[in-house]
Amino acid sequence: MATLIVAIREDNAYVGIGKQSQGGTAIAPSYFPRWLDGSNIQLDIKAEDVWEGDGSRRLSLIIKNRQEVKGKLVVAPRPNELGFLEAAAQGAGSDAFTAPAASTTLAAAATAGQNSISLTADTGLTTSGSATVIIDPGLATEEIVTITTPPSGAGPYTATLANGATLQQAHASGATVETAATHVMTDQSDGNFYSFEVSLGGTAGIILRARDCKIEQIKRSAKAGGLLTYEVDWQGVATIAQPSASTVTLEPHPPFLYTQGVWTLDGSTTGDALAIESFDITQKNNLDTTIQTEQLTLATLIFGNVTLDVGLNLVMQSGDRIAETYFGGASGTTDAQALATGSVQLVFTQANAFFVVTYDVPALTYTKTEPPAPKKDGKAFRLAVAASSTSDMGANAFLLQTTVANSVSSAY
Amino acid sequence: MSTPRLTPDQRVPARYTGSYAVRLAHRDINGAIKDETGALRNNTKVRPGDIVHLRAHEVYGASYLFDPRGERDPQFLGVGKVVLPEHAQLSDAERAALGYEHHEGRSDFEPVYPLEDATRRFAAAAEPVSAAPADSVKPDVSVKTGKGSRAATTESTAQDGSASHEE
Repeated sequence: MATLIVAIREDNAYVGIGKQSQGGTAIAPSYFPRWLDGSNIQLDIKAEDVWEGDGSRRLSLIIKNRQEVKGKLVVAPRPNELGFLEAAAQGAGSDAFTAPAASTTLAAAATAGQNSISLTADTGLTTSGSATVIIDPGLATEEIVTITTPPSGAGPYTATLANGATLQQAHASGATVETAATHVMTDQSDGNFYSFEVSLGGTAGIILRARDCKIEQIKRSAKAGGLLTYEVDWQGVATIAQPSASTVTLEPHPPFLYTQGVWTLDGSTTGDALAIESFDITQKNNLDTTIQTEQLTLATLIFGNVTLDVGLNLVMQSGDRIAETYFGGASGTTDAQALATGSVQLVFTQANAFFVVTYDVPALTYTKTEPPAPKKDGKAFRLAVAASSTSDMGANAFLLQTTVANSVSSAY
Repeated sequence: MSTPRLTPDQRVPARYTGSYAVRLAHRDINGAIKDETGALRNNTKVRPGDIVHLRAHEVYGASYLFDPRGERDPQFLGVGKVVLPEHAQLSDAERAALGYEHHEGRSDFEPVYPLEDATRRFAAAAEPVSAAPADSVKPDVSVKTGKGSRAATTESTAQDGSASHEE
């Protein structure tokens, strides 16, 4: 009988992440973002050839000077995962958490098909307009609806579902009803430690857990019609092969879509704000990866300087962008030292209006707008625009503020 | 007689404490999701407060002993916070310098039973120490609970007198 080799499918893999309670103590992962192609783990060594005078012309020895672990996670993050990744990238204490403005219960049972619900309290729902609430969060009957505010009555309060909507699920009296939790995250001086676990074929292959990891770079990007995607480059201190796999748990919410985004570019929601085909917001934490003392691996990792770059691909509607970047303003006609400045606010709101992520870059300096090359293909001119965020000489306390509304009811 | 010990793969009950429901990956569970009674579930969704059976190392963490010089292979000491008897009197910092590494269990699950109880209940049905890989578990070790220590007692639970479980 012929002996066959044992091949392992290359999609037999997972990436898990856990936030450590302290440096030096790894933790089993609790977040398992669904990885996309391009994700990896890399074990690198720095080695040294030792040429010794032993009378020959042969290399006599190679020694290992250092071993490192790093990797990349490419993912279309779900709303709760997105907050986790943002908090890891922005740093320790970055999450200014606000509990749901409204947190109440159903005053009476509700049946599927109802166009209103009865609430025991109206706290957080008293302004005129609408509010999106989640009913039975975490349960099988979890449902997100938008209600018209303020609700009527003096308690219990009757809230009508907006836009003629009706309940899709039945809910018991006493069911939790609350608005989204809000996480406002800005860059901090250093980051928490995380454990990254990467399974390559499970126990048949190898399961690697890297401890004391920090985020080196995070790139948020999307293009027309696609998914909001994150590329997370991380680096760790030490690695251990795990004797057993982790139980993969997945967030059930949908990812964000590019079509859910609303742009405010340089304070305007028109003009180029409507002509963006793709974008990326890249934050680099510039980890200090040189701290090696008595051991083979690094002794720790710390955040270095933070930089934030924004790239936009626009359908060219005028020459203004080129003039702004090189001629001092939209009406400029010749070389000028002044750099064009602006800002970006980008808001993605899922169809349920509950899960929202907002990127706010208040001080951008445009550094490059490449004049497009003409082509005889009959297609539109495109402009590749590059800009960097600054603190505006200290006026701003952050380069990027990310605000996430989701169902994680505590700070990351 | 060797002390029964949990193997990292032994399934033990754990309560989900996350703030939102998650879904267990099908391929990971292979249709064998057990609830608190040990009965099979037919739903992969895990809601806050649900009890499911996870691998012991995910619930209680695990301990390793590394060679700080990186010359010898690391030793897997076992599930929970495990310390060799000869190092029992050392501080955490001193143990860390020797290469001890204690991994914590998942932050979104909590153990239903303290480690000692789980060992009594589930290790008997699992592989005894003597059947574990030769380099994976050292006999005669003292055991400190990890996450499960909140409800743990300080009584000795060793059956052969060689190991003790501490708060």
